Amino acid sequence: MIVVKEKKFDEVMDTIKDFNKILVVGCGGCVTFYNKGGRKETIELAEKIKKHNKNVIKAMIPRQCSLIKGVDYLDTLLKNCKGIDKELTVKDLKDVDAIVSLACGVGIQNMARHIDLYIVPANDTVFMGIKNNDERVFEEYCLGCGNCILHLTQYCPISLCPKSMLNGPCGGVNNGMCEVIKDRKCVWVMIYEKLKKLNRLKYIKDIYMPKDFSKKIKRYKI
Amino acid sequence: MSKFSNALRKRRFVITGEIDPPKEPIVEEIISQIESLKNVVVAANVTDNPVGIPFVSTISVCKIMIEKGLEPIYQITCRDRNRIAIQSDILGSYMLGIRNILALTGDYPLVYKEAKPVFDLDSVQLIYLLNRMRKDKIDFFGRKLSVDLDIFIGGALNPNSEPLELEIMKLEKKIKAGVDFIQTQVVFDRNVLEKLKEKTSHLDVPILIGVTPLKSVKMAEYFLQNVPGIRIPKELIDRLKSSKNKIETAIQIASEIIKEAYELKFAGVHIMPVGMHGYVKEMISRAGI
Repeated sequence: MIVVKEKKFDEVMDTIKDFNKILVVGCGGCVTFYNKGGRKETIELAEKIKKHNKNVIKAMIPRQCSLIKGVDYLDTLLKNCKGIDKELTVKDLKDVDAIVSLACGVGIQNMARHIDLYIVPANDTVFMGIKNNDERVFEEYCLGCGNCILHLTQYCPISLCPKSMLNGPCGGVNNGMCEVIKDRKCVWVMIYEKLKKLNRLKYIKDIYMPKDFSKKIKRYKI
Repeated sequence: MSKFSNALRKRRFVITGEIDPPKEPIVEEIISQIESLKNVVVAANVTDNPVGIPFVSTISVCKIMIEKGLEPIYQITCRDRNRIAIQSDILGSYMLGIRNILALTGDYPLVYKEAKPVFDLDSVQLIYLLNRMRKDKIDFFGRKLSVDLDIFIGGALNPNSEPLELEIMKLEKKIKAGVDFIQTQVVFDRNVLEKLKEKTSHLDVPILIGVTPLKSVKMAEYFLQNVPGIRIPKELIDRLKSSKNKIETAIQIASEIIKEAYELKFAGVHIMPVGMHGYVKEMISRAGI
């Protein structure tokens, strides 16, 4: 999942201080699943903004990273925005000054490609991750490096190791824990235990050659 | 061929030391360490900005050592340089007469955390690339080299690491990559040495055991907190507590570990004197080997 965390409200207000009519729009994708950008949070944020004498419209978009294209930006907005209080019309949307989006950075940029209105993020996008055992905590699990080796390791040493070690743990592994992120298990110990269980330790016996970092640049377009 | 590699090939019990580059460019601080270790150890490592704290450059200290007659083992980490810079430094150091290299991944910058950690390569990959450069005469990027590189490549091992099997797997990779010698993290416990001997009996690589004089209970606590997995027997701590002459006790403890490494038929020891350079000679002679 793409993981976001809320920006401070004052920071969001500062970005829209010059605007009057604001469309606050949540996203039904990742952010809805962990209550950072769904219907409830959209309503809450919209009400807060309203108290600062703004004309606020609230809506949800099923996925801001995947919009249905219209003939122009207004039509795109109409096709995608599901009004929370009421059905939205051209009249509601045509003089919107700015959009406050609760989606991730990808969703916001996709909106920017199709909708010619000023958009501000309500959240900071932090990483691609999953929930840890403690249900409230997310951990980063993928850097999107464009060079996946999970068939060998099951857990990713590139994202989970601060040094991105590809050939085993560093000398800092401390009773199975990472020396840099002290409350996290060393990913190489995780890999070792998992592969041992699967009887596949042979996968990490070969030397993993230096990574081709040009893939990181090439990956921007596939 | 370096004196160090020659000594290991002759299967003598080999002793290396360590020079700590100073924070500032004060040559005298280097010279005094060199004078203490010269003719006492075969060669001495030069650290590379340990824990990410900047000191004067490793290569410059190595060069001074060569001038003063102490053979250097050039430690190079992957923390501060990418593969372009590492290759460039290695070839540059070769021009200055540096032959022994200890290839390390390097500590994460835990003190000056604002610095960007590089880690373009890890230690296994660096050993592989260095060995390929020597063996096949091609550089890190596949370019043909015309010069024969008579380098001697080392790697590190933490015998205190748990699970040890995983550390041994990594050691096997280093051997596969072409490592010539291994120097270990500091060891204080004979049990750790015995276990290491048993787990590495199938491997044909010289291992030099890391030795550091333990000067105080405070120092022992520092090691326990900062050296992952390290074990210090209670008996050693008690000896330090009741010691009337800390220096004397430190020398004695170090000499005992040296003796144990010798008895267990390790290839040698690597003494990291941390300020006690002047006592290294005594540590060795007291070991009676």
